Amino acid sequence: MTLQHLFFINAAALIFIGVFGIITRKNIIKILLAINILETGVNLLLVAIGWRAGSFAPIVTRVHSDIVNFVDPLPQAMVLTAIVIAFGTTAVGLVVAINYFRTHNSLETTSFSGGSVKYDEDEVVS
Amino acid sequence: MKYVPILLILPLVSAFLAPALGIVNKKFGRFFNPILYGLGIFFGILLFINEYPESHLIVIGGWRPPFGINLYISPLSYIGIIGIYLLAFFIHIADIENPRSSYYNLLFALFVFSSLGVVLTGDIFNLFIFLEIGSVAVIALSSAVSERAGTRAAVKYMVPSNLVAMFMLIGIALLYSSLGTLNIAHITASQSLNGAIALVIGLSIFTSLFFEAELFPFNTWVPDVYKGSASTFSAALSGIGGLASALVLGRLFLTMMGPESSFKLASNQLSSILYIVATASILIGEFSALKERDVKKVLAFSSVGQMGLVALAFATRNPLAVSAGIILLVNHSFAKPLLMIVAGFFVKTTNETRWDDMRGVARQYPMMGVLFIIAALSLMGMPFFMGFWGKIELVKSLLDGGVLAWVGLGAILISVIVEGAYFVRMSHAFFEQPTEDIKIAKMGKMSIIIPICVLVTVIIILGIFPSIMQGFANHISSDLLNSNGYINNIIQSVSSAGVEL
Repeated sequence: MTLQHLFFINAAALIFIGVFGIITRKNIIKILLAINILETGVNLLLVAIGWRAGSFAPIVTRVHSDIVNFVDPLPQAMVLTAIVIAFGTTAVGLVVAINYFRTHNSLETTSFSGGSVKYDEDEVVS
Repeated sequence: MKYVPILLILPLVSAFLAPALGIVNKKFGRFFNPILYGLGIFFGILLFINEYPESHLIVIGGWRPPFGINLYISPLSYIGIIGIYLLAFFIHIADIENPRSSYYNLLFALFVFSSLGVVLTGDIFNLFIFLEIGSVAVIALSSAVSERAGTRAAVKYMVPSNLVAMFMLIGIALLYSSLGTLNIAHITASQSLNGAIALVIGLSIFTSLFFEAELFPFNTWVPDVYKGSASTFSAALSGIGGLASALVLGRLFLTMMGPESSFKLASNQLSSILYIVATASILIGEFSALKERDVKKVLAFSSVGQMGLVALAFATRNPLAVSAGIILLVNHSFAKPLLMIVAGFFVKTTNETRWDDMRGVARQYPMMGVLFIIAALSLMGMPFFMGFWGKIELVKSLLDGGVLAWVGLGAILISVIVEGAYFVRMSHAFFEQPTEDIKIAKMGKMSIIIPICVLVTVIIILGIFPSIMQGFANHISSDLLNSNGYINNIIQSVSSAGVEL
């Protein structure tokens, strides 16, 4: 088993945990955590597909200047972008969670549908 | 051609300046945003006059595709750019009397920017970024006006949007590991993918597009977001968001996953999946709308049904049907914002949300009621309106299809009846003599009347002279279905410039 296989197994496990968490959890913070676990899994997958056995980090130095021996740098750039995007969506999600707690006195999504917290069905938004 | 990137970044200019200059004067964003959208319309029309229907590759930062990101100007993008800017301009005008903070204007500009980017970009990872930017803007905007309903809507949007975005990223990762490229034209031109891999990649990219295009089974957010956000933003979401997401669905499904592309081994299965999803969207959307009493939710479910029609037209891969789908899409993008703005106005004046509580409101505002009926007739597909020409063409071309096309045809015929039923009931209730005293507030409406009059003029003119829109739609459909032309315009122009692939 190579390092790449280990990465793939790990990524699959994290993706599975994330999807499972999103589907089964009812607390908004926990859902956000599950989303972040899912994102980490996808990022690992991205890093893994760019890896090549026996290659070096794609940084030109005096020792390693032959670009043939580098791993693929593009997935790493994609991971960086994906991390930034994930940071943004998580921040927005947390703000929504704060707002939700303030207006519903709960973080449970069950208060959507006749759960413990009642809400005014006929709120008028024009 | 030099000013195409300017067209893309115009909304960003206002997004950066709105909060900073909002400190000086709170009204800044209110008037600055529409000025920039107006500039966008101007540049868009200039581009249209000079270049239509030519297709052009625009290289960003000197990095030629497939190594760098490129924008692509084609008949699809001309209609996309002008449509998005027109809608953004008029929807903002309709919203101008409401007190909005500069952050609201910032987010609205960001939403417009992401929709433009989705239509213009030629790189699939770049597309993912634009979709994410758009979803952040939608989450924030849908919770911006109403604290409770809006926040619930934002949660309902946020969770599945993150899930499908990650599915799309997995699809992009698999695509990159199989083909080694992210450029849509280069992907299309690459060697054929294994059938199973192509199906998995296609499905994971589809999830995100279905979510944005309000298609079943990712449409759970639609009624809540439409109800919880300001009606002008709901209008923008159905008009701008629907237009951009359906166009990009067409680009990816018809061009990138076409029968001559690298997805050729899975293209039939993907087509069947789109047929099923579209048929389910039509039936579920229309029947939910029939059962619903909240006026904004009715319009939301009707959106799901209309987007299903467009997806059904794309699923056939038949040039005539695709051009009918484009007509239906443009019809929906102009009629639905109009209905949404009028519905928001009625909600505001009566302080009720259910249409059966709004009896008699159009007696107070007859012009609004008439405009509402005209847009509803066009959505229903009445003769001499724009929707009619789209639906009749679509029905004609579905007759030549297989079993799934016939099922879709049945769904369309059922949907016409159901749509007719709820729109007639709603319009009747608006004009009915009120049984009890209902309070209808009087309010100024000039800022609303002007935009909806413009939208209705577009619908009527394109309905009376269908050949105008049919000409555009035929160009777009041949642009979407011609995978080789797309590849040649992007990759060949690069190789002739001396870049080795």
